[in-house]
Amino acid sequence: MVRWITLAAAALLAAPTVQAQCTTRSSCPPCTMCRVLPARGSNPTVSEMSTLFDRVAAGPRAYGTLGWNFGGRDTFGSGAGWCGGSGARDTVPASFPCVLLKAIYLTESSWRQFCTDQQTVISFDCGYGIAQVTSGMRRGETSAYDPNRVASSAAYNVSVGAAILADKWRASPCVGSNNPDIIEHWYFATWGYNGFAFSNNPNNPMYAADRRGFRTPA
Amino acid sequence: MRERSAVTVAAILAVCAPLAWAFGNTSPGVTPTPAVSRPDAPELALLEGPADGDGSLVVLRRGGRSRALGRVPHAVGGARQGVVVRGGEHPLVAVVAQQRPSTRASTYDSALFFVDEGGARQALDGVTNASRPLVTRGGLVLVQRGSDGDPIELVDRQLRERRDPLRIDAVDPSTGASRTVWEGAGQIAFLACALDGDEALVLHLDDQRATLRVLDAARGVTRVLREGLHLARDFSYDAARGEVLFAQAEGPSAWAVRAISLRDSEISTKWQGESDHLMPFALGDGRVALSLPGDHGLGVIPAGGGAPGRVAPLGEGSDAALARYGDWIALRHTDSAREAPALVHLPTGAGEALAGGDGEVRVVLGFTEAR
Repeated sequence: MVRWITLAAAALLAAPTVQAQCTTRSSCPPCTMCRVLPARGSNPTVSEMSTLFDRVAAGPRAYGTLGWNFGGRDTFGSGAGWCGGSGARDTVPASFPCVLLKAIYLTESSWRQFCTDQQTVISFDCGYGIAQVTSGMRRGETSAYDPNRVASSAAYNVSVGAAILADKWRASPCVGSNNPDIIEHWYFATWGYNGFAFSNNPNNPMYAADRRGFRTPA
Repeated sequence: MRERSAVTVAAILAVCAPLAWAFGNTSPGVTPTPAVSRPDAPELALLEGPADGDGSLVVLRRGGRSRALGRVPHAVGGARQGVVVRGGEHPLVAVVAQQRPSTRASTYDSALFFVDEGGARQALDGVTNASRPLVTRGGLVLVQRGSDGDPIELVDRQLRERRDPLRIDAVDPSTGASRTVWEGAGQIAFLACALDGDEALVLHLDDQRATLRVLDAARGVTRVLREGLHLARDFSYDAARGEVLFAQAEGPSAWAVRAISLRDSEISTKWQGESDHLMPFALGDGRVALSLPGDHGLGVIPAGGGAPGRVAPLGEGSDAALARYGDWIALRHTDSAREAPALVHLPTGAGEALAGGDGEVRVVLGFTEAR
């Protein structure tokens, strides 16, 4: 009986601490109220990371077993015909401008899979690792990919992020000739990666019109 | 899940806000930068802190002197904005500062603080990220608030943006008491500028609709001034003429400086320029300050209209005029090396930048003599 009372008291005391950790702090120490607990590991070097992004940008057909295979959805549309235009309507192996992946992941996590204490970077809303993968990573959610590898493997995490970006490409409005080799054509897909909220709209009148490169407003 | 969290936070605030109001003062912890050297310059309030810091200091500068009011805590590198609420011997400023790390388009992650000689105290949470509080001429402080709507999943290649529950709250700065004066839904209810009394102009965007509303914050009622005001920004009020100045997109690279009459909602064009950051500012006497195309510095459109004359005391760069007091205007000067607040003496065209290029963020809050 005493043991149960002690356990209950400990749970009551511990719960607010964990809750606070997942609502008010940054991603390190990691939130521990998500689908899987943080894994342990160390970050690749910047050089290794850059090489990794280049390989993942070539798409799952090119990188093979390095990361997730996009659940078999390893192609997407190319050409204005996908948006009701009269242009081409091709299906091509999924690939990405390599600098785009590097830029997105720099913004998402500063290229960090692990905190300095070697636990996975996990934000308060269950964004995991370099790509800050949130889809399917909250408690009770499911995913086609392995959540434990999203937490433990930098390569796997980055490839899942690329698969999510590929989904945004498939659903977003076309830009120009809808050519995935042209980085400008990823405008709406990139916007969608963080969410189609007005806070991500570059025309938001709250942000200074002369800010450099649509940087985060001060 | 986020909405439940917001409710929890609101419940905690309901209990804790009065206590925080009474005891939540924070002490200064950031060293102010060198002050304005010109002795006859009016006192200017700034919010200063490292770009990647977790707090910013409200600093008042006049001539060669400066004094700090209080430190506002915020998320590391968080967005921060503010405005002078009251000047005089005992100045008061309002600051909106981001409290949680940016992630997944969470928009309502900021809090409203009041800062005076006693320090900073939090008044409201759930305030829109990067929004600027607005002070009515009657003295109410208005803030944009809301909660994140359901995430958007595009399926048809048609761009849609998340639709959030939105509201505008009015806060009595003397008591901290707040009430909601407008509620709606959409992408943003932007506090565009103060009008007369307790009226404010609100740009409300909701999917394809862009509506300019006049909000009477004292009575909690609105009227539509104009529909279809797309891609409009940088609003300021010319009380003498009863019109509001703003910039509006004309094409891919050209924008126009326009005025809308509060009397009949008619829109006129003051000037057009090949720049997406004209940033017009009504000087209150018919003249309009703006940033010249090509980043050639500050320009002023004469009261009678026509092309802007170049003032540009700080040289090349963009100049956003933000506040006026007598012969002085405060602006934000941005060039390749720095982003710095600056003072400009209109009759002589003399200007002075207040540091910059040192990794510090300095937000102009306004002149403390102005209210």
